[in-house]
Amino acid sequence: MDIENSKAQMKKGILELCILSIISRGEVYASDILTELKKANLIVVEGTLYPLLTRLKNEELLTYNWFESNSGPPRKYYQLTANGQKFLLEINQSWTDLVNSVNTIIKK
Amino acid sequence: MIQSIKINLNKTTFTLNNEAYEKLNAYMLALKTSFKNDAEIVLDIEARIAELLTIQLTANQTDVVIAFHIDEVIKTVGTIEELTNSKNEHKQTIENEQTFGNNTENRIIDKKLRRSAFNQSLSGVCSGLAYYLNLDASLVRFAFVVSLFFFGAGVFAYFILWIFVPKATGAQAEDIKNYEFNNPNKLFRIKETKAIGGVCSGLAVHFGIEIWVVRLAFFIGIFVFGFSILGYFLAWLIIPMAYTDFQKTKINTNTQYVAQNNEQLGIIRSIFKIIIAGIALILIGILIVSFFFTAGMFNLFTDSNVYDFLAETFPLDENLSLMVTGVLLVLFSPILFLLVVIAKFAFKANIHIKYTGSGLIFTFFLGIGLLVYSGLTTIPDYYKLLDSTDNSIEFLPQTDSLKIIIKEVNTGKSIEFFSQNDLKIQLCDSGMFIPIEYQIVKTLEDKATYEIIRKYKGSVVKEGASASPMQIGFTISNDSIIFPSHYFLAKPYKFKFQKAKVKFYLKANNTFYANKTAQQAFGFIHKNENPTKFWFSMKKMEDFENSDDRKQRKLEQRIEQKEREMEEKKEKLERELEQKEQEMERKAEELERKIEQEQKQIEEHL
Repeated sequence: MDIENSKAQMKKGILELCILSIISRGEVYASDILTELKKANLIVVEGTLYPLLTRLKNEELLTYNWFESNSGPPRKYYQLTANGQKFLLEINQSWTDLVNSVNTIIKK
Repeated sequence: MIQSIKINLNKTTFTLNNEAYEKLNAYMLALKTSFKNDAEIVLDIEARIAELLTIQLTANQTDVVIAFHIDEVIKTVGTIEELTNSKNEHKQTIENEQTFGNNTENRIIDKKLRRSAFNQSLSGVCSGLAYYLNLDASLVRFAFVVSLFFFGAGVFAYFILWIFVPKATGAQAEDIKNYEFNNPNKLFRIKETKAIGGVCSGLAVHFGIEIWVVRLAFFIGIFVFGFSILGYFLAWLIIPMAYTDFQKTKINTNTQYVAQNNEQLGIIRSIFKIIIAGIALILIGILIVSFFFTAGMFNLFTDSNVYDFLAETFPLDENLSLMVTGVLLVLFSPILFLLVVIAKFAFKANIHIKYTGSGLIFTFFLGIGLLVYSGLTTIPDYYKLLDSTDNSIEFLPQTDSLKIIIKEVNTGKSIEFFSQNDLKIQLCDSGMFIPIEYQIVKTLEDKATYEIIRKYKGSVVKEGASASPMQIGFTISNDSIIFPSHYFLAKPYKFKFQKAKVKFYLKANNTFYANKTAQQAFGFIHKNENPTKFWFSMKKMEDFENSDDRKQRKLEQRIEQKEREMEEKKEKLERELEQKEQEMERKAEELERKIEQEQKQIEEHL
């Protein structure tokens, strides 16, 4: 079995949770999200973030505002919608549950 | 030779060599096709690529993008395969597209008239309309404001639109938002080429006209009832200034304007500065005048003043200092604010307008607050005041020609003439002089009478009663009655709005004599008129002066002259006396000295 592939599969599921968590801390610029995800080794190529963001936006979990920047074009700053906050709470809970459940099995 | 190509990536201009261009172009085309239905993702990635390239260029201190940079970028962002794999979309169809960047047109959205939820000044009508009509929001706003001057037509239209046009939601809202922010031809004021506020430069760039044409148009407009001055000011308020590099991209491509217009700028700026300096001088003048006006109003420079007068009238002294402070703050804050604005914008003084401005606005409203507070606490007291009158009727001596003489009171400052129209309260250190009102009433009764009516107000009856010590000192002899023009209220007594009126009830057809002040008081002559008629009757106002009176006057004059002569003689005599006394003293001293000398001589002989 391809270990890389299963790693990627696992990461992808968690990625959404991580992105929403980062955004939940306040309005944030896409590049800042990237820096954080890369630091945590959750993302390899940056391009994968954008489809995710767009999807989350289309699901109305997050929204964005344009802000003028002093050093370049205006930037999109993302923030959670009310839906997004609710969703994040739920997904957070299920993640903890899942970790607990998995731990009970693999740590036996 | 390596050809270099300029491209526009997310509104930022990059210079690429041929190889880099090929690579980037291929990558972008592939991106577009793989995210065919999601132009937004492509835009986001494009923005990220522009950002990464900028970082690389600054890190390597170069201006030209080479293939290596593109490779690095693709490595970071991810190859098309990596991206599409992660998206689990494998269908790739390649279409030939010549351009990339400015992908906004790729998004298919039905343009609908909606109020913008973004970049709104009031309700988003203007932003929404601008988006719908493909105009700039600033221009639409300008049009609405201008329409105000045509019987407020725009206001009506604006409210209709506000009520009936729904607010943009979802994709529409997003599209309006993007239109506002990413419109490459957005109207800005331009700092770099500005002469005054950068309005002309901005308009020139926006409409692609030469800047001097716009300026000339504005200049000519000054002579059309000064419309262009107002227009310029409005535009200056409405159109935002370009600050960020992105906002300046359009301007940077028009840099030749800067070089072209430097000469022109100097002249326009200096003319503008002269005008503004003139306005500033006028403002400073107004400031000084209003300061002295306020000072005069409250007589701040003298020790006896209206302030004292008010303080003696109303019980709450501390309220009055609040009132004066309030008036000063309300007067000076706006003028100072205007001066600060002028100093800041015309002369580039290093002032933080945000802080000084908000400080002055604060002091202005503080002043209003003080006025309101002191007013609210004082006015009820005023209304509580109790009216009370006090009158007595006395008979006048019965003579054929009664003299009514009103003596002007020396108030210590100046002798004020007064008349019915010109009653003045005069203050001095020890109290105040309150004018007495005089009136003549014609009666048919045989006996002439007069009536003194005293009025006073107090917050309670008791207090009103405390006003009674005011007494009008007058003397009545056989043929004359002498009244003062003012009465005096010594300081410990409160003013209580005291008023005194003396009414003479005089028999019709009789003749009465009145001196000049009395005639003024009765309103027969005005302040500056020289009275020619000293006699009047209640029947007719004629010159009743006869020879007897002339003789009397001459006599009076003679007596005066003699008195003066007597005084002079007296003085002369006194002086002579003094001189003689001095001589006597001198002689006495000489004698004493001689005696002493003789005594000494005698002693020596002995």
